[in-house]
Amino acid sequence: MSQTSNLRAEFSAWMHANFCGEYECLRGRATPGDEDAFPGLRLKWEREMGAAGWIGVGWPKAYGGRDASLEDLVSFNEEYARHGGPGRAGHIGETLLAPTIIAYGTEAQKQKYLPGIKAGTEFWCQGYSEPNAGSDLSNIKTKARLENGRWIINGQKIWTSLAMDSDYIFVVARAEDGSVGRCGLVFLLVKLDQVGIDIRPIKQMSGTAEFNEVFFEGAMCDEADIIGGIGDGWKIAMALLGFERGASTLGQQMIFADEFRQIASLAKRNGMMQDPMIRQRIAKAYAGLKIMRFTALRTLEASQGGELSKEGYMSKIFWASWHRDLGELAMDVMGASAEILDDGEYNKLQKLFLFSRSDTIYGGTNQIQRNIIAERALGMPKEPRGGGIVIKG
Amino acid sequence: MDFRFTQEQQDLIDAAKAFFDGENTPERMRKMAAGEPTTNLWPQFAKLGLLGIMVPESAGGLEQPLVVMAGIAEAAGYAGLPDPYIELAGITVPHAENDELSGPIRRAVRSNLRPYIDAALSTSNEAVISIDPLRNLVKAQGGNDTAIDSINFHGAILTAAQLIGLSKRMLDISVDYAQTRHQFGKAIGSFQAVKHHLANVHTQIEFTRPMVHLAAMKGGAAVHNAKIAAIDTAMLAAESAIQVHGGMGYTYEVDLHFFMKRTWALCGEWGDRNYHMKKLEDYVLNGDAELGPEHTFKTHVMKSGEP
Repeated sequence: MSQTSNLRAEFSAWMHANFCGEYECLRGRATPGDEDAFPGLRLKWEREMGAAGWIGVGWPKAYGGRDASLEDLVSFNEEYARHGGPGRAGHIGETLLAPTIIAYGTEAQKQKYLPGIKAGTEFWCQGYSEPNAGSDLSNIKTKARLENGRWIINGQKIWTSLAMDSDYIFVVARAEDGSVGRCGLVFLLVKLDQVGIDIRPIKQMSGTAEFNEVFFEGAMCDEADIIGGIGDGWKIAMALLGFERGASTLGQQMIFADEFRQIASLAKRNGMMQDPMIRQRIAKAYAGLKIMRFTALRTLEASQGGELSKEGYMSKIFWASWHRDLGELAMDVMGASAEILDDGEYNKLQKLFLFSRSDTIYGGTNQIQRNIIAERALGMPKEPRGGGIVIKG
Repeated sequence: MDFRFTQEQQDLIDAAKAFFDGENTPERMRKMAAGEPTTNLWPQFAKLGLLGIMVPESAGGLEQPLVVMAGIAEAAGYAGLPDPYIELAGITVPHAENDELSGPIRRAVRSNLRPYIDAALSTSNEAVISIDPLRNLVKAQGGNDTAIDSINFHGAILTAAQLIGLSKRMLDISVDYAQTRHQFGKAIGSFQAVKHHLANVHTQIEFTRPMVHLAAMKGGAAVHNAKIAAIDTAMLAAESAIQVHGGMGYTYEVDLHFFMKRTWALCGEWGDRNYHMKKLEDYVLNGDAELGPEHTFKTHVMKSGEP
């Protein structure tokens, strides 16, 4: 391992000096399952970070970044989580779309879209999944056609996180009539605030609504608001997801570590730590946490060249299953009171339990992850498709 | 051992099941969760004789054994019945004094294994809010009950039976969904990665029910075994059901969450998994358990004070 630069110390000092006062109430909030906490204040916090230059530290200097190394990015994410920084409202724009625009976008797109992301003033959401394109993501039916220098979009996206707080959505749509699967798709950058777009929240079993359905009825964007060309949509969409499995993983593990600590300290307080079965499960959760951390560090080092190593395919199923089990452990440590909502609100551990029911589903179910591992890491034959559809590319 | 119900008993269970399924529809549960008024089922419980299942014949009841009540509790679990009918008819009534049985009873019995009770069975106004929006709970009052072991026995069995019913309901909903939801050009139920989940749940349900029925008939350490098996089955059923439903399973829109939330609530009631596992460990390792093959077919008679 090489030496870490002073970015960690610099950012830690900034968090210490700035993540206080009115932002105090955001400490440890807006983590998965708690996304609806203080939406307005969180957007203000994003602007605060943006103004201080802490958004896009991994971007090239030419676009206002610091060209931070992977290790520095890891430090940055760890410090953010260590200070209890809230879930990042702007993470889709900063860590997914911006690297995609930098890698595949035009100069004009970089000038148009990066500054708003960098300043923490413009927010993005992801338009991939559709009602019939979930696990079968390439079965996209949303259509886009060029007309008088504009893309006209019709169709529907679903499970769109944070759409109600966002300014833009990137949309994967079918531009070639008669194309199927991964062919004939485009990747478009679309403003949400227009008459052709309707956003409807989806009520979750926890009562909150973090996901949305987004309906497109003659929605428009400029002809130039396409990343790559016609037919490149799938390639761009997958490249974007590749940026997801990066340094933020270690920040996520800091959140896990915090949850784990809360469970362990509750077990000490309420006497559950006396129980040999609970002790074993707490120790097992600890072991998993450490395994994830060192595996992630090793994977990140191995992927310095840009290409994700094969371990990357396995990270999702491991953390998702670990976190699902942690949710059950949290409930068992709470004992009989696990059923009861204090003051009518889910407490942190109950939210953890409920939200972690979805960990093995969103972002690719465990079943899809196993297929990916078997097919890409082990080189096994692909599962046959029904309906006689042959997937090219 | 005879696990078969008599025709009369089976008819009774079937009638209760038809009543629960017909009345406690998902629409009723949604209304209830929204705080809207719903049908009061208590007059019908009485009219159909469901309150007297365990009342002695001499007091005008049907004097059925606990295992029949377990069959009815499974049906109540399947329907997701939120009304505390099982608690009243299967736990309170069998432990009531004879002179109390002449009038309507509306109370819960006390137990250290059930710190919260349904508001309808209590005079307490210390309301607490359950993770299951259909359970109106209050803090249970402390105090003694003379027949506490028998109460805990009934509580654990009838909770285990409800968990079997809930498991079966979550399985049925998931089987339906796996047949109608298509991805990759096929019903998702045609993929082994999906159907194996449901086959596992089905297997566990079928292996749990006899354990619960045996425990209802014989008591003893079997009660712990039954509650553990029911918890494991129901947790697996919930986990598999949401997985098969994908993102839809996490929404309020599909009915699954009502049954999952009831499952999570009931797993901890009348002794959670750790409690019963410790009891079972004690029985096998520290107690006077008769472990050899010569004891396999010995009839175990529940002693007073068990489990």
